[in-house]
Amino acid sequence: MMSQALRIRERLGSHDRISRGRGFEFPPWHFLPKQIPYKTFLRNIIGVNMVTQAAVAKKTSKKEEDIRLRFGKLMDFIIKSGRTSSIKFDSNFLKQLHEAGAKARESQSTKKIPVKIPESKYKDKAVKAAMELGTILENAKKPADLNFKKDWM
Amino acid sequence: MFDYINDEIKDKILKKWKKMSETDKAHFINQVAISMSVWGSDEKGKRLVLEVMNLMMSNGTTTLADFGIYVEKLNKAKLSAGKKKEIERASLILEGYRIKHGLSSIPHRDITI
Repeated sequence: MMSQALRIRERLGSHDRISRGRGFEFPPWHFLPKQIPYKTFLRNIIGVNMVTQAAVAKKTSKKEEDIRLRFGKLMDFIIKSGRTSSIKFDSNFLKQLHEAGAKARESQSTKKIPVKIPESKYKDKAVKAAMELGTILENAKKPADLNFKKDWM
Repeated sequence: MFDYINDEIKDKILKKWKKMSETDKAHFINQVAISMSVWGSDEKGKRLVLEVMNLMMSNGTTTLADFGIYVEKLNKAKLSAGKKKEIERASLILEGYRIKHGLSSIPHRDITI
C-alpha cells in the first residue's frame, strides 16, 4: 500500500531532496533559513496547509486574518511566478501558521469530528473498547495506574 | 501483574496524553475504533492496539493522534500473524480518515534545529 507521503513524493518527481535519500520530516522548518528547492517548498506547503487549513478557512482574530492574508499572498506569488528555482522561507511566518492552525483546531469541539466506523460484527464493541481506552488514559495520574491487562483486556 | 507495555513506555504514553489537545485525543480514539472494527476487539485486537502504541512511543512520536500512521508498521510485528489482511485494510481506511481530517502523513516528532 502506498502512503500519502509516498504518493506526494512520486508526484513531485525524482529531483527533490527526498528521492536523493536526504529524507523529509514534518514540520519543515529545519530547512530554514536556507534557500530550498521549489518542489521541496511545495511539498512543505502541502503539509503546512493540512495542519493550518482551519486557520486559513476560519478567521477568529485580526492576527489570524493577517496570517491568512499573508498565506494567500504567498500562494498567489508562487502560482503567478511559476518559479522552479528557489524561494526563501520566513521561519517566523511558518511558525505562526503552525500555531494558528493548532489553535484553530483546538477551538473545534471534539463533537465536530465525524467518524464513519466500517460496518462489521465488531463495530459496537470496537467503539466501546476505544472509548474505554480513552477513559483509562484520561483517568490515569501515574504510569502505575495504567494496567491494560487488568483494566482493558 | 505483568502487563503488555513496560513502565517506561507507559510513562511516555501518559505524558504525551496529558499534553494532547482534546481534538487529538478524539482523533486517537476514532482511529482506535476504526482499527478494532476491522481487526476485532477481542484480546488479540486490543494487543495490536497496544503494540501500535508501543511502536509510536519507541519512535518518539509526540502525539497519539499519529496512531493511523503506525498501523502500517504493525505488519512487521510477530503479533500480526493471521491478521495481516485486516491490518492492511485498517491502514487504508485510516489513511482516508487522516486525509479527510487534514492529519499529517508523517509522524510528529521533535526536531532539533
